Amino acid sequence: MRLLILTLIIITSNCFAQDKSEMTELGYFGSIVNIHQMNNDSILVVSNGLDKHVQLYSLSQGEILNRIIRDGKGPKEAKGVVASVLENEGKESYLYINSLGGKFIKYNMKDSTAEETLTKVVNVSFMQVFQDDLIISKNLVVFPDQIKNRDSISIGYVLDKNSFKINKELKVSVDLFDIENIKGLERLDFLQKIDFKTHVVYLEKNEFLLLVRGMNKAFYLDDSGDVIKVLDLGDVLPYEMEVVNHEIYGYGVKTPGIINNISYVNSDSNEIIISFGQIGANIRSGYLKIIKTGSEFIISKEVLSEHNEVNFFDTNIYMTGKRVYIYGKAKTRTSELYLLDTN
Amino acid sequence: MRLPNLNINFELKVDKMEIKKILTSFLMTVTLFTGVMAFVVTDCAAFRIDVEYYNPDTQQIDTREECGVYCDDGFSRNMPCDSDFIQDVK
Repeated sequence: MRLLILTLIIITSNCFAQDKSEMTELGYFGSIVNIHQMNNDSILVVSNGLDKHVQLYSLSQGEILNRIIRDGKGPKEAKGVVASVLENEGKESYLYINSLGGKFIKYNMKDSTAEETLTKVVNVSFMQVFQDDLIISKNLVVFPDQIKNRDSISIGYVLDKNSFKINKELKVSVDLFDIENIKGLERLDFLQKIDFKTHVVYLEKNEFLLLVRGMNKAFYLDDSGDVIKVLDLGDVLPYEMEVVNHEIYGYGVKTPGIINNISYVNSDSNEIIISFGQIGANIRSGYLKIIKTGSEFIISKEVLSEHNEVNFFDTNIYMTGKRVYIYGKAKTRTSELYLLDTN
Repeated sequence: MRLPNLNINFELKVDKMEIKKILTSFLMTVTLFTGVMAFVVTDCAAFRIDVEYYNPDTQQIDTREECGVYCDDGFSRNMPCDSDFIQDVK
């Protein structure tokens, strides 16, 4: 009888552990591209799938206060937002939006004015404002057979943040991606590509950190692409890309859900936070903190508690202070956004 | 044809050890089933997207259609857009 009661207690406590009482779902925002903190009370949710691409959401009121940037191909409109970044410069706040067709919109959040520029920059994966520059990272599509004969590959650009003129193209050695050592690569047919979502993060003038989704290495490079240091993240994220055979679809690339997005960058304190997580591959969600002190890098890892896991295709985390926002595409194919109360 | 009446009396005689065995067996089955389901069931979706690229010949941004599947365990592969897996994806 005691054993029966004990079993019931264990089952009941497991049910409570599944309760997501610490997490609040913030509502429906379409397919989320990015999140930015406006102030202590409000966030900007940048997304696709609704008639406007940016929603200003108040946490205290629990509602959307404003919607900006209409969906469309007309002036000051965006057709498919690809990437965004918010710059807080003194009392001014500028939201930079990159959309399909190489269009950039710079939106002044204070006076609601916008400027737009058409460029040749496409396939953007991540943007950072660093001093007077807008740093662009690219989504790379690589066919292993074709890449063998190349020495370098373009991973991004340094743009003037006002004119969007390309000041510099960032190129690195193809060898950094270590494509030939991907497990099972020989089984991949020549029509199959490998996607590399890159994140270029400037911490100091003329030096940047390159992080690639699915790769458990980070590279500290100078502007000309020469490696200053390689950071091995294999101890904290022991996952690697590999070619696997799916019983229905055949051979393809399995990319672990690590380095999913850059959650936070502070180039003054040389601090970067990166999210990881992919429940379908048993990779628990969490974030890595990388701090550069002098020529050294300090790396620490935080994993979310199990009852705060959401079954996303990829977990994306945005952090500000004690607030942690978790978002991604859920199994229902829609984006979901949660606020995790860490107090 | 008539079936004979059957009178069956069940007598439940279990001791503490048997309850323990039954519970252990039940919990192990549940754990094993959950583990196997987590291992076997991956959720996949087909995709059809327009990929942009800068065409130096025309000096314009062109698009090409790409199709494929991706799964929640990180698996992905591209496929011809006219394959059966892709045709329903708008």
